[in-house]
Amino acid sequence: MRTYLYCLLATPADDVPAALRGVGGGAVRAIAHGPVTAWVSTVGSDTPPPTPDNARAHDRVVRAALARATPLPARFGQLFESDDALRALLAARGPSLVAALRRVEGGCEMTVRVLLGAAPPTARDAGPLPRSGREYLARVRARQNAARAARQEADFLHGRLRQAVEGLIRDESRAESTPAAYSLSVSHLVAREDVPRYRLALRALQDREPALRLMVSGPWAPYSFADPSGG
Amino acid sequence: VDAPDRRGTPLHRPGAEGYEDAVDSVDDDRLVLGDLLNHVLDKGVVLTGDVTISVADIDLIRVGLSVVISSVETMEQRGHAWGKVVEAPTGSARPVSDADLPILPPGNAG
Repeated sequence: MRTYLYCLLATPADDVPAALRGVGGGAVRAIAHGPVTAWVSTVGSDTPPPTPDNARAHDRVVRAALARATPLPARFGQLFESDDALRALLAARGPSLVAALRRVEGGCEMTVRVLLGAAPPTARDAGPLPRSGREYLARVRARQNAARAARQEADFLHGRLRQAVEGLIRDESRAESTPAAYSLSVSHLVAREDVPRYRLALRALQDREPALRLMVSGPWAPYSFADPSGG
Repeated sequence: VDAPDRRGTPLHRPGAEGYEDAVDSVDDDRLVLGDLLNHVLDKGVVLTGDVTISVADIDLIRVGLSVVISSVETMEQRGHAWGKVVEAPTGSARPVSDADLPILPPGNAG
């Protein structure tokens, strides 16, 4: 039996909802070490597979924590040999974890995705094999140009987003875009009380620019702002 | 920033489980799942070096993101306006694989 980690909170945080169940159905409990409290449950010895149910169970516990105070959400799938092994890590990394908790305190994460105009072509889109070196190079160049254009479009849209939410965000994190996801994806750290205004600001942007393919999800726990070394 | 009265500020409208947006909500399990995978598997604090992201997991993250995009496009084709997200998900006990998730255009998966 091992200890599965969901999130970290500022102590005291031992008021885990009694009915809260985690990955695999285990009861969620709190382990406090100094200023940091971890919400965990006991699981079998193997890392839980990333099934949809397990991912939802993980986020459900994190969400329950978010309902009382902003946690540092843990990435899915972290197991510890024992509660004591986790306590030792909390002791070793205490100061940086406290600082990371402070950075997200009172906030939550909102994620905005804006679809770009067209998917940049990839090598596999190109159809039949090129018949000459020259044709091959022309295709490479076309791909590079398309990727550059997509980047520029994403940068431009990022600027529009920034204007729209100016003053309503505490931090932002822009995801690397890949050819597989021809979109701009930006997560914002938003103070809880600013979430309605944040939504209204994006709605106003959408109303001003109906062609903008904009999508908002949240509030999430601050998954994108939980790295103790970041910010 | 550290005002104690922010604790427990309600974030959710009743019944929406946090998936909602400026406009209103629509049901799209795949979209929720994709966004969830993208957050839960790829982000968050890492305390242990034991977290090994396997090749399959990386694919999963990529698939999660692709699902979001393709679901949004499906919504668009069905005539939903932009700026919408999503109702709470239902479950599946199988591991996520491409088979669970929308067909991606060839070449867009890698």
